[in-house]
Amino acid sequence: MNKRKQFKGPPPKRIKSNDDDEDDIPASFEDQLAGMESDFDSPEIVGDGPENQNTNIKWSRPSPQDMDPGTTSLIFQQFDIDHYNGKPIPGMPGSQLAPVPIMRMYGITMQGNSVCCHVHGFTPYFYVTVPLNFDVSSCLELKTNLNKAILEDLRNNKDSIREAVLEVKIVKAKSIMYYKGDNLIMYAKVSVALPKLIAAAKRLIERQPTSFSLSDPSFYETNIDFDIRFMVDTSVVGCSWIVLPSKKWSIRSKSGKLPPESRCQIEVDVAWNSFISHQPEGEWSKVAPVRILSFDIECAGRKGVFPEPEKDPVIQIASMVIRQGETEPYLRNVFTLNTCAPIVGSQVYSFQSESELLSKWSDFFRELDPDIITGYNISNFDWPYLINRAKHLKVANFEFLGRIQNIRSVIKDSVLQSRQMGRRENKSINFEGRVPFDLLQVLLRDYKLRSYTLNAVSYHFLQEQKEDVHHSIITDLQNENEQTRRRLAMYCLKDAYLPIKLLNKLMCIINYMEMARVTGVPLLCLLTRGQQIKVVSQLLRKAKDAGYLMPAYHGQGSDDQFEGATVIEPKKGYYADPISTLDFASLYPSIMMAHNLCYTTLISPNMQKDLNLDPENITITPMNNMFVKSNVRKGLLPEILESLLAARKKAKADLKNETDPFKRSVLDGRQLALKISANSVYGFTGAQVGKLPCLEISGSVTAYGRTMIEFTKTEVEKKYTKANGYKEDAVVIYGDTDSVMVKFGVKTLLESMELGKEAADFVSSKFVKPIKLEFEKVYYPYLLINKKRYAGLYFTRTDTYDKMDCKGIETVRRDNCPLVSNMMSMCLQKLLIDRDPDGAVSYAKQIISDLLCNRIDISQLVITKELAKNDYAAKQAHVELANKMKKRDAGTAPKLGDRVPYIICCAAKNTPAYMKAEDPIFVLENSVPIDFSYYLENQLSKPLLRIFEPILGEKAESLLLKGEHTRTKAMVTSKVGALAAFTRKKEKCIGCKVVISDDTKALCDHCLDKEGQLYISEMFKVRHLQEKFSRLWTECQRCQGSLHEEVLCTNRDCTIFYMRKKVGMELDTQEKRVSRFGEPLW
Amino acid sequence: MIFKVAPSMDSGNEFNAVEIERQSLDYKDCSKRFYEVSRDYSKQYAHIYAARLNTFRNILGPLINEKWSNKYKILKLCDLREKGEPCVIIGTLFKLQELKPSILKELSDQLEIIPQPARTHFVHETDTVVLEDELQRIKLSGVCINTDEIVTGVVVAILGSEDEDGIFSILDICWSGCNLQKPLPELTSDRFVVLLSGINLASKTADHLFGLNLFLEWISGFCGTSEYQEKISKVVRVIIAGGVYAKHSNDIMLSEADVIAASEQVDSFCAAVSATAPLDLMPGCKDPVGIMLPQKPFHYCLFPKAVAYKSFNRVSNPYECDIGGFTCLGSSGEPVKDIMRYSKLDNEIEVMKKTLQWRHIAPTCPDTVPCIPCLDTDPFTMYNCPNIYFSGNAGEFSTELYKGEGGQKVRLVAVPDFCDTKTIAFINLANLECFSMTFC
Repeated sequence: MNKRKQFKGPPPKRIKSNDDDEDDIPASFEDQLAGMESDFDSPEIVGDGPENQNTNIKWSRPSPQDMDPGTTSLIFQQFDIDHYNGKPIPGMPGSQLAPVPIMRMYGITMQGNSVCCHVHGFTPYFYVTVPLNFDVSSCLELKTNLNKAILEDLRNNKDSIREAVLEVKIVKAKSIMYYKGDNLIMYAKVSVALPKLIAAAKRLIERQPTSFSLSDPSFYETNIDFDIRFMVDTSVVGCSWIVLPSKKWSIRSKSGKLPPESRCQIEVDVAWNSFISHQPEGEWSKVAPVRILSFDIECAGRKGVFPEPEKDPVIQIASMVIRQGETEPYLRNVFTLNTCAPIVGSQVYSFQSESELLSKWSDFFRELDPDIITGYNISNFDWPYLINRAKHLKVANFEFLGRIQNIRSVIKDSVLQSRQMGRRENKSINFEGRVPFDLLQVLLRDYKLRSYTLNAVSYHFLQEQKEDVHHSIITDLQNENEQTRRRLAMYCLKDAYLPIKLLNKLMCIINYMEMARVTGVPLLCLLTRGQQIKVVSQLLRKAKDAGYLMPAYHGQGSDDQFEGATVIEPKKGYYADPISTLDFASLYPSIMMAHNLCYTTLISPNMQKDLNLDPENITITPMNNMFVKSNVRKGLLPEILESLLAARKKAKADLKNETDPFKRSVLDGRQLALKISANSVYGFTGAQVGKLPCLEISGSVTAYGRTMIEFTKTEVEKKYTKANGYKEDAVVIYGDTDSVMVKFGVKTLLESMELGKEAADFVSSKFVKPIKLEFEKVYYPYLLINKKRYAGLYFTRTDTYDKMDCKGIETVRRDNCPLVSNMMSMCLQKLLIDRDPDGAVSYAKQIISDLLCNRIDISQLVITKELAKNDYAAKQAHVELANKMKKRDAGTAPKLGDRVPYIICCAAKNTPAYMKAEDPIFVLENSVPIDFSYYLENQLSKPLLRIFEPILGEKAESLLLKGEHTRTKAMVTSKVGALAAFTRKKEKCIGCKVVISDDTKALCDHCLDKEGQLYISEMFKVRHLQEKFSRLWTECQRCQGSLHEEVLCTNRDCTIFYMRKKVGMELDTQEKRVSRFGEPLW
Repeated sequence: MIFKVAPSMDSGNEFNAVEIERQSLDYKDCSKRFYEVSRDYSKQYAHIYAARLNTFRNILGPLINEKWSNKYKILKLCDLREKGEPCVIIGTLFKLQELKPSILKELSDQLEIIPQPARTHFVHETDTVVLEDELQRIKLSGVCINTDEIVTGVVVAILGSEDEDGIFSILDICWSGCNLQKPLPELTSDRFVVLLSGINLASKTADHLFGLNLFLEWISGFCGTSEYQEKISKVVRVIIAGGVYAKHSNDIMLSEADVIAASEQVDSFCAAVSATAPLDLMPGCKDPVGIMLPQKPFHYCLFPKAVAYKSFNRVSNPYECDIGGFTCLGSSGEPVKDIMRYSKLDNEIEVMKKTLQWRHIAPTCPDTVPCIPCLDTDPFTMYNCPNIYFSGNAGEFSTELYKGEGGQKVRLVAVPDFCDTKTIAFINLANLECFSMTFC
């Protein structure tokens, strides 16, 4: 059977672990569910087997209209393309000998019917250079010899290939590499029977070129994915609309000669050269009503062990289905093991056996026939778990989840190495014709967040906190009664609902669809592959039109380094005056366009003389590479960039005029996709393990960038001087990659903006088009800490600031405790917004003093780290703690993949830091003393000094970290520890702290005079705690959406989780303390 | 003025000192349920809601039979299976309010630069109501319920049916209604109770102190003619309904020092009142006792002088007592004010009438009023229908005689803030008439 190329080739990338296995339900989710529009028609589940059954109107797609291929054309939006080896159909182009590769396009019509379109006759091919004397007879010779060699080479010809090489013909073309004049070179275009034979043919020719009458051949386009090859040659881009004109296609039916192979409603055949692919413009930029399924499963794990599919049952599967473009899911259901009380707004299907549950769910899945499958971490957890569990229980037909009837979905491990994301190990599962679109993967790709739990993510984007039930009690909830199972089902539904909400909010589907259209790759590639394939696809399209061929480059990591972007040495400091920022718009793309940098325009050093070029027509880059100018030959990359940027301009213009919110989101997605694509072109030329790296280009680009930054600096500093009539001498205080910060010395925003605009235009005029220096914003004030570390108030208008902009400062870093980032943002706020450096210093001092006196909320001190593996080479705090907790209670201890929260506690001198970590709950319950000096020295001090040194100078350290405010420290008596058993706490007088013998009394005799006063002070503390207590717990009640049930949530990411616990304990202590004054009445 | 006495012809020259006895009536403090709640802060608020729902299930059961005569099944939400089939559900109302302040939001907003506008009212047009029983909740719809006139925490029985969208559409509602009242005792002569609140002695302003001194003189019988003084002697009880140190509406954070500084003055004032009449001193939400309802009485150590008087009575908030057979119930105002914040009811008397019909003094407690996490009981349920029902620290004096369907007569009094209005409420137990008096 065929395998999907995507999974064989460069490995798809996924994330590293399933760090999210909680369940949740937020405030009033139940009501949300209940309130959703719904019209269920009491569905019955019947029918099974791997074919789609129509059992439920809600589930099934609308039935397709009868269509006559003779008179109507079939129009659909394709979402996925793959290929398989099959038998040729008479009447179709291409080889008539089996096996032949057949492409399959899957899509949806505007009416919402699913389509599978077999495309016949497209043949794999590659190019090879040939000697000058190569002629038609040599072609024949090459064909026969190569055919023979390949057939011999096939150890067991299990596909029974009879003719491996179909055709060899001479073509004239140019190589994409180097400018070599306009002469065409001869190539042999070798067409083979199957895609996999390309590699074999190449290998055989390379081994013995002479036997094929070739000498020193070089290969072109042998390393192109077959699916991409097809799309390029037929001008199909990702998610484009396909029209099969009438009479050109045939429909498959059960009774016909060709029975359907897919689960799609409409299955058709067409020749590869007789369909129309529309570019996604105008009418064809519409989107079909695709079905997006989001689901989540619950497993009943055993205490303290991560659920294993061989042992732990799947107890619930919740599904939500939404049509693209709508705001609420139209189908919500949950499949439960054992009974479950009804949930308004959702259907509940209960089963007594797990096998039945799984089997019915897979029936549901097939009947629903979703186009896009989403969820949170489904590709690394839910899917593998379901498939393995079904296998373990021997559930027949479960794994037939794709659109092709006889292909099972299987789990494969894949590794993605990408510069953008680093190395990620993932699982990938094939669903022919459906696109797995795991939200977690999307977020990992596109957003930098503090935490990626569904909880944290939904709080971040939706401001929706969700209740979090510890996995150790899921089993208990499952085993109790139908009501507790209902509660569980609510969490499960919520987990299925949130990804949909997030997808909508972030417009992921639309943005990705537009990206697929712009770059021409299938939707799935965007999630499973890196940036390169997008550029390859665009490059190939352009190259094909212009008659270029792309050499097959063997990626080998080379150590050649080119210098990166330039950074003008920052003049550190706190600037109270406006700082204008000049930015190069799309710097790298515009450099490439301005200087016509491309593979096709690069002059190789040895060719220079042969070409006899007029030096007028040559650009010599600062790297001393030579490129021909565009009047000699226009480069492909500049052309790609031009069309991308022109398209972006157009999208932006359309966006301005569009009023329909859905269309607006499409356009906005497009302009963003175009911007990202333009920027990735430069990256492609620099990726040394890539398909076609070219250091001459990437090196030249950065070199230009550097000179331009320097140039801007000198120009600005030269022009804006007192000598030239300006108020002050302008100083460039910092510059990085594509921006320059200028201090014009003016005092008002208006002046600095005007000067900024003027300077930008002035400098722009000195550059080659389309390089453009733009004035974007003014920082006022501006705190420049170091390279890539700065903060400022961002102004684009004179009336109000847009935002506070912080770069490289510990406001978002994940490995710090929240105290650090909160303190930093407060300090920056005081510095920049309130312009109150003294206030900032005293605030920082206050925080330090609060810290040392134990007045900081414990949640502010919690550091979290993911427990990724157990055997770190170096000992790490969170691993040690996890082991310690396992010894205390295996049931609630963190498992592999959990995030471990911890607090650094006091220990004997010289105890290594990794031994000092303790569970925050344990710290709270036993009042374990916290190591405040660790927090001060290892967490707070560096970031603090960094932002205050530019203001306070050398004395910052002594002022902040050693001042009066650090003298008072709180002593906490631990309830645990070696000495705790031998000590007994004696009560002290509340007034003067003198030890008193009668510990039922509050005060010593001396303080009795002040009794009322002291009582009032204590009462104020009670009042404060009581208010906090009631606000915190009622908040949790609202969040969980129930008044009568106790709050179970253990969401440690939640700001108030520790606070809630702590306030109860403090309140108890404080009440006891007050009660020593005696009951109010006597 | 009820005490206006026609000037007697021969007065002026003679001045006879008359000794007048302070009249008295039997008194019993019935606030035990407010003192004796468990104070275990490891517990959550689910218990108090559960206790409330249980109590009201018993109350509502017979009322439902009376109202709809066994026609409909009383179901729990989890047993609700038949769509469109009318049935009765007993549950707690919960109002989803977008503007309800959230500590979570505040904590995360701390880091935001834009300050949030301070609100005093939290009603929004998107507010919706759900009904919740022990296990589930369901969204309510229908014309019988006016979202703007109900609040979270009220227990009701609702007749209606679940529709296709899973929303419960209401046909009719059965409120608990006012309890039956025991017969009013007959009084042969006038007996007065004085209610005041918000004397606010820890405040920075002093312009009400004059009024307060006038009040002291008045209650001590230093004003008016001897006839008038005799009237005053019929004041059998003075109840101060909270706001002793600081008044409710004060948004400014009360400083500890101010309270400490004021405590002596408070003590003296209480001693002075107690010297001439029995005084019940209730704490308010800003006074130096715990903030959670029910509030314990003030601690004796705050009143070194006043505690010497037997007539000085420190009581809880809310407070219930029996004065000569008249049941007197009230709070220092926080529950009523809170209901006004979370509904469109904007007048204390209206709110108090509602609470009578709900049979609950403080439904929004614990949701938006701090509350002790009680375990087995909900102390705020009205077990007896009071004869006098008051709420302290109101914006202005207002009163009404509520007449229930069962013949109940309840004197509703919104006791104004003395600091702002210099006004007290004056109730005659003999006929339940109520008047205000202003001292300035």
